[in-house]
Amino acid sequence: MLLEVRDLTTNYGRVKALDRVSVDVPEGSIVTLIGANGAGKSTFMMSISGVIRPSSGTITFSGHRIENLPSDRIVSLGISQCPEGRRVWPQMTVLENLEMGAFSVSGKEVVQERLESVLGYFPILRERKQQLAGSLSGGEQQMLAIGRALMSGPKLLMLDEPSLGLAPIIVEKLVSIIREIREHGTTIILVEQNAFMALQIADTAYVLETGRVVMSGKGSELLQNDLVRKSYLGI
Amino acid sequence: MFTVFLQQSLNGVILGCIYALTALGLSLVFGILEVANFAHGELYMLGAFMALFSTKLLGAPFFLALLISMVIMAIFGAIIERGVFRPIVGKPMINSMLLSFGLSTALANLALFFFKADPRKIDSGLAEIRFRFFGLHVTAERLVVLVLSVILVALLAWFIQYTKTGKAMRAISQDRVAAQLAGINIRRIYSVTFAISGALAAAAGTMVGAIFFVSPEMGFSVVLKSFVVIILGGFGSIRGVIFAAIIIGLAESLGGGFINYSYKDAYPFLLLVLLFMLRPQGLIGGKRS
Repeated sequence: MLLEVRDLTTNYGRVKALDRVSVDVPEGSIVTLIGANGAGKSTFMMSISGVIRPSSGTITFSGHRIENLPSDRIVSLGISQCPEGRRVWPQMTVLENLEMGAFSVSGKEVVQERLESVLGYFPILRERKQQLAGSLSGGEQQMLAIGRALMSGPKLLMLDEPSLGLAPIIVEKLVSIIREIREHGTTIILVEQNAFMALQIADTAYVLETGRVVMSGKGSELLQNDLVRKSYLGI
Repeated sequence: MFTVFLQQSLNGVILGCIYALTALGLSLVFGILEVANFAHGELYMLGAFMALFSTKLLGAPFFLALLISMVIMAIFGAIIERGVFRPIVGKPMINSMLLSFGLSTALANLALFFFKADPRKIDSGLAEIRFRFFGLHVTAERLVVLVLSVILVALLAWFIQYTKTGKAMRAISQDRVAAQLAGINIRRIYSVTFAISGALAAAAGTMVGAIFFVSPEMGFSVVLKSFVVIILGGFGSIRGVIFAAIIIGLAESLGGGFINYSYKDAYPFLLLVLLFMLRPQGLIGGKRS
């Protein structure tokens, strides 16, 4: 297992945002978390990334216990997150955004190599290199945000709502890029409200409801599950 | 009359340079840690004392004393960031306001206790050299202040624009969580920010200590004026801060020269009140998306 999460509980004051969540992420797979707004998906990602401290439970990443590590150490170990809402730095150029994604990386050649491979995934960013990130369209910002997350050379890439607010054509393109990133050996956790899209590309899926895992299984199985179809796919 | 005006304007610009140095440090800390540091003036005051002691006790020449004071205050800045401000980063602003007010009072009174209140002057050895042009008098000391300020501000601007640490500082000020997720070691950047802020304050204090005096209460009015400068200039804008600092320097100098010197400290605040009434969106920039 690349990532093993056991009984992860995260509180906001008295509110339990996550309640004993256990998730397994095998190496090389795409795992998805689906659930409604407020189900705890983003909290889960932020707890893994060390931005929010979990109250209890363990997170083990390729043999290291990481639940108490600061966020920059977690990135150096190989976990990268592309957060919900893109959160690019609007007053910095596209190139600077990407460079800062490689903050933990030492060695100019490595950074240059990564930059080339990211620009290979997202050719539009090459044209926009010197533009301020805030001037990009929503789709371009999403690509920049994913590109930035790839710059640290992660073993595990966590994508939080990458399809949010994007045109269907761009979502399709995004799906193929996510698959491609996996082909190159990066394990992926995908959080989506667009459950249909997520279940189609995921190997394993977890359904979160008010901070608990209520269901899990293969993506294709959940796609057939009546409850999932009714609650999340609207079929 | 016109010469007096020019003379006061020149003095105002030089004063503005000092305010630019203190305000830039304050603005960096504010933008990156989201902390309002009212003890910033005490970094400036202690910096002046460090330079004073370097010249008086070690016999260091002025420029070496300036460097020593900047290094010491950079370290001191990093220490108070680590020891005092780190626990309240990310908490509501009232925490840092109260905390830094306390720190400011404590440091000023400790300085009063140990260094005594009698005003002293840092001997730069440059005050005797005088230049005259177009009927204006400038001492070499004041010219040094002008040139050094320009150099320091240029260095700071270069650092923030082009170095990896500088870019990380900008990233944190624009979105801290995104910076954490990108693997930026924000704790280290916080320390660096405070160190830079301390060094700039020390430089300003040292230069003021050479032109005017060094005393334990010298920091108090400077920190308030620096806040006026960053409010006028817009938070996070280096150019805006420099512009506003010079306006404040001019207001103080011209107001002091032509209206009444006793109220010189009031003019910057009057300007601020006027600004709030006439241009509540700020001097430049205005709307930000």
